[in-house]
Amino acid sequence: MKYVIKKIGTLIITLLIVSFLSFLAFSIIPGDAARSKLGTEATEEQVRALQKELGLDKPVLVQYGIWLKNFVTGDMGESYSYSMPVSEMLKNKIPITIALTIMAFVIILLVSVPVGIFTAQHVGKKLDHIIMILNQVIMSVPGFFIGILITYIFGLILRWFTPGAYVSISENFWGFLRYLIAPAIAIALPRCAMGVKMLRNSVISQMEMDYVRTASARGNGKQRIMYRHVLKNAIIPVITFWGMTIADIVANSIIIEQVFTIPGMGSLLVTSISNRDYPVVQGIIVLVAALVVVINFVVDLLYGKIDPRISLR
Amino acid sequence: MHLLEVKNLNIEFYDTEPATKVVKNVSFSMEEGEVLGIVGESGSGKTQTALSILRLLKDHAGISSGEICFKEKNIADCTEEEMNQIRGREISMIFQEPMTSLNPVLTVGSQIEEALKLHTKDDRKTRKEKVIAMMREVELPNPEELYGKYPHQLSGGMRQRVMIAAALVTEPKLLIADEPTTALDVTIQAQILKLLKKMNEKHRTAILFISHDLGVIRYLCDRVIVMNEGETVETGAITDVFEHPQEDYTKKLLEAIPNRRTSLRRRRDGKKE
Amino acid sequence: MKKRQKNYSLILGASIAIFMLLLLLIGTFYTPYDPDAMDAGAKFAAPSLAHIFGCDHFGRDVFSRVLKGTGNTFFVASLTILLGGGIGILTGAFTGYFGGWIDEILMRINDVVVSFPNILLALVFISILGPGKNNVIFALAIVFIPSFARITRSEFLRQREMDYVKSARLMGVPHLRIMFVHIFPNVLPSIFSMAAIGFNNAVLAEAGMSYLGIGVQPPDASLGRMLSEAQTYLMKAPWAAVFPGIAVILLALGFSLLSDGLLKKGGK
Repeated sequence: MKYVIKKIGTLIITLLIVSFLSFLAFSIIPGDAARSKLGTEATEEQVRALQKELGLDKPVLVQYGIWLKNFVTGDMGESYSYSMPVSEMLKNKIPITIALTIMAFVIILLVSVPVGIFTAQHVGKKLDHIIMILNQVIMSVPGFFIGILITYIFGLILRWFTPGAYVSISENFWGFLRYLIAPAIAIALPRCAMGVKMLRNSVISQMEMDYVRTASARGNGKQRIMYRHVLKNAIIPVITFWGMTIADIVANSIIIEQVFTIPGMGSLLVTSISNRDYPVVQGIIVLVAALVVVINFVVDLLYGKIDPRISLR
Repeated sequence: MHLLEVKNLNIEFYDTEPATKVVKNVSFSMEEGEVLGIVGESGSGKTQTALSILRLLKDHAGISSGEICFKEKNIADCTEEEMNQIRGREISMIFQEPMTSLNPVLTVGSQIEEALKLHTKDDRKTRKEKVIAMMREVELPNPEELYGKYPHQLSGGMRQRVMIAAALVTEPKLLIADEPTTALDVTIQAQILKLLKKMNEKHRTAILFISHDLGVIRYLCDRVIVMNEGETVETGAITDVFEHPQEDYTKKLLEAIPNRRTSLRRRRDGKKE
Repeated sequence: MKKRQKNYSLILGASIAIFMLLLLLIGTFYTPYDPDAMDAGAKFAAPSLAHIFGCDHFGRDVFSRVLKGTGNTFFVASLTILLGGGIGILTGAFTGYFGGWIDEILMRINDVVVSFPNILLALVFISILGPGKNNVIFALAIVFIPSFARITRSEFLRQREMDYVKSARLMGVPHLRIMFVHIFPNVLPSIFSMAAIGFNNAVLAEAGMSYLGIGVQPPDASLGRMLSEAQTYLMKAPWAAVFPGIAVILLALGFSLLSDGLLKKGGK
């Protein structure tokens, strides 16, 4: 319990620091929001009036407090380019990114766990060598190139799906999920390869441990040693990797969405960066950053659950 | 009928070129309820001999010739499944490092219980009763509470008691103990030895006790085999070997015990006077 | 006494890396065509003896562009590693060697930063600095500082406690000399391996950002941008996408194998 409370404390502090940094990065450094909003034509009077209205004449920490309060209550400011509330713009994009992330992550787990265990059980055999070579190659392929290859082979030549024909959730939920399969695979593949390598190495190093010898001296068969004894130990270091992978998927979905022309958060972020539409960029970055921090928190909790040695410390 | 018979055992490590012989022509036998010690320095092949009885040698090591028979059955002829029936049921083993020999993420209780789960048809309740009774027998305090604890919450001595409980819970015929007290404090070491002696007398469990420590061997064992560089140097009843060592190597080993050396010297000096 | 196993990762990684280096070295002095020259007649030309990688939608020679693009990607990745790695190594060396409260604070920040995906952090910087080659280098360099600092720090922390360092200190060797003459050579293997894997990450990140159109700007050729342009004409000229893709893969693969090999070598 102490462990959980300590971790919640860390979570809150990290969230505050991260949000403050994002606030600094996007609200202070880029320059005067009032001026950029009004354009170069505005008079000093107008600028000062808007500054006052936006609270820009107050000290930074007070501004941060106001901003944070607004952000938490769902007011993320207004887009410069579209004159629309940022929260309104993000509302429809978030489910897309979440769906894509979950699909990619499930694929990664479904592929990398069995393959990782299999290769670890067959270390040094031919099939292990082949898989590991393939693995190393896939790890070096950028996700968007896999996306392009999938588009070309399965979309254009085999015609399993129509590239660019995105189906929105409201239109057809299953059609929406179906369209996301290809991009999810494109994001998942390189990370599957990393996952296989991580789990394989972890299992191999666990197999060297003394407790494995004890277990075999007790009459455990190979399979039981793997699933009852080794796996739980081997998973521990891999959990961190999985946590980082979720964050990584979200970040890389920005690129993959471009490949498959999915109108998610990623596409919005890229256009907003080009337009220097800071409120939108800030909204997205803070959301993703918060997600990363929360995932780290969940990973820590999982650690405490799986590894009995941690909860005591 | 011998309980265990090892005939002309040779073990090689294949990861070198040419293969290294680590055990050369070792032969011995054990009877039911007997405590046999194997003594030697590290690298003398005693641990490899012990591991080969349960066929637990690492992949790069193997028996190049010789026979190991348990209850007249050559273990080389056993399938892996038959071997798993012997391991933990007929022959159990405990190891040097009680810290790392227990699985860190499983509770103490479940690790003691595992052999019962694998080798008996007992239901959950009977198993737990047997485990608690066994924990009592190896003098673990508060067995009910300890049952759900994890290895890192226990002291080194307690962990070795857990190992012993886990090894003996199925009442095997033979216990192989590979330096089980080496990593422990001297006082704890004495307690564990006493416990092993008690278990041997009570259940007639034969013990193959491997150690580099002659004092420990002398306390526990009926007979002893002295090994050096993979070969049997000397073998005999414990008092014979200690009082009248035949080979130079054994004599040197005996002299290496600090208090033994002084007592020898005293005796020699006494003769001169 | 272990049997010596050939370090295939190292051999293969080094071969691929050297091959790519040779290619881009040639590319800086000589390309078969002007990489930016458009030839309306050769529009979407398939690979042939004249254009071994074919031509793109403007009739530009893909091979020449891949050579130039590889050069640009390599340039960005190398500068990133030099800059980010240099600062990271220095920070890690000092904090690891001297410790103290600065070390505490920096490492806490590090822990948070390292858990954020590279691309995301780089995008934050790009959105503030604006797109372009130099800004990409700068953004990626900042992003790579923490991981270098972390590895170097833990190595220095370990070495600091070793006897050779203690005896050097007893003999009155100044701290800076201990750090860079005594300790540094011992941590070089892990730094090399770190640099190789960092290079791999930098290549992938640069390609990703150019693909998004916020990396290297036209008219400079860049592998990522070539891919994004080729995607539109995928049906007509798949070669315009495949070859730059392979170039990215080889560049990344070479250095990730190299890192693997160096790790294996250091481990024995």
